[in-house]
Amino acid sequence: MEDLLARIARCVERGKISTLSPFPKDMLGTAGVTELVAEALASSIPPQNILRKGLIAGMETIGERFRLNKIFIPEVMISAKAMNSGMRMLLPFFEGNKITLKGTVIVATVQGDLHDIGKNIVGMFLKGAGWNVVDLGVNVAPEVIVSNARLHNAAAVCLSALLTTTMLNMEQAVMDLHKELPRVKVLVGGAPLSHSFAERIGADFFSTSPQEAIIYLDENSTPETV
Amino acid sequence: MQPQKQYNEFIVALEDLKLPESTFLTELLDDSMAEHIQEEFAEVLNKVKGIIQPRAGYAVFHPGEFSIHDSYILCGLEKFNSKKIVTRALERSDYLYVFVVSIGGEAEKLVKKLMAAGEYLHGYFADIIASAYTESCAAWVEKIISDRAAVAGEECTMRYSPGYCGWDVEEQKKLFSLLPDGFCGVQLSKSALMIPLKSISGILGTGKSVVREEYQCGICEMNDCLRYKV
Repeated sequence: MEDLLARIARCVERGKISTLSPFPKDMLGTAGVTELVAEALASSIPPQNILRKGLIAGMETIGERFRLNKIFIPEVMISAKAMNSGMRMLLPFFEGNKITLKGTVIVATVQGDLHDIGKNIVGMFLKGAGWNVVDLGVNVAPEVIVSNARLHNAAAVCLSALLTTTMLNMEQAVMDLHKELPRVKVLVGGAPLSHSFAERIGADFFSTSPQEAIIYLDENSTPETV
Repeated sequence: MQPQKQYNEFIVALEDLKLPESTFLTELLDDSMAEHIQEEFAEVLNKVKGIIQPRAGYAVFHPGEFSIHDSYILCGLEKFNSKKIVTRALERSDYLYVFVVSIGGEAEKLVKKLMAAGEYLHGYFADIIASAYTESCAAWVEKIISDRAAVAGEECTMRYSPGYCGWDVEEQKKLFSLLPDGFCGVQLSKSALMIPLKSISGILGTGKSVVREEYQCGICEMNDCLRYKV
């Protein structure tokens, strides 16, 4: 069983979706994520184990390599696509509560800002790490962020901004979240931000690395908040 | 009232836009996925090429229509608090050019569509290719201006944009007030965001005494500058 899960993890890491995938070249013609997940399900391996020890384990490895600057973002994205191919096969098990995720994280670009590539990449990393991600999109008002965090019983909210003008709008959202939902962690990111700015507006966490955010969430989300 | 101005607006041919070598990820990849990633990149590049609509334009401010001071620039009826890095670079200019370029909004729609479909790699590539074309469009308009200046025996400065070199991005509102509404298809949001996103605005100067100096990012200590951080 462990061997099968390790193979799933390896396929996620290498971005190997199926037998037909034309890459990586050294895995041509071998089974990919979809075949191996099907085999694992047929072997009665619990879906939760397939998720945690197969799909997420593969993404953890690739995320750590990214954090250490050993690979670049395109390779993470190829892995994320491979993981998603496996996740789709596990979807039916979410309904029966045979699989649980780590919790829900809200992601949003703050009011006034329409940039979303950074937010999307963070969302991709969080999904790969086993979090349920609710993406509110761009130009999101503080009250919408708060109401969605409440609605989804979110463990955390990740806010993004790319301009020095719009990053100022983070402060209201952070204040409202801390006031209304004090248990919810607020993470902020975006090119013009800094540790000192994040500290000044009262955010719980700032990093330029999505993988650091995952480590923070894994260490700071208690069972009560998830 | 603002003085009557002439505005030059161009539709830029795609073949006139060159993407910098760094866009092609050639230095990044040497493992077994490299070839595949390059193929995917080429596919997205063709898609983006097919949908962008590059436009560029500028307004020229002649001697007497602007003045450059220690830490600000008076241009038309506007006062740009553009800080010393910019004013020093422009101080010997005889002519000031206010420019805007854009590649239109189709590329960012494609990025959104790809990302929403979980095609992260293609979405990411589409985004960086679109950004590279926007930069290339800005380089194109700079070359148009510098070529014109060269004919008159003038040198051209580097280009400077609100949001960089200590110049507050909020000042983009002043810059756009010097141009017709919707110039090059670009509108400004309340938060000084250009829409479409893949647009660049800025100023540059030309003149017989201008000395073109490279950007001083290497010695700049502004930690919140996008150019420095990205």
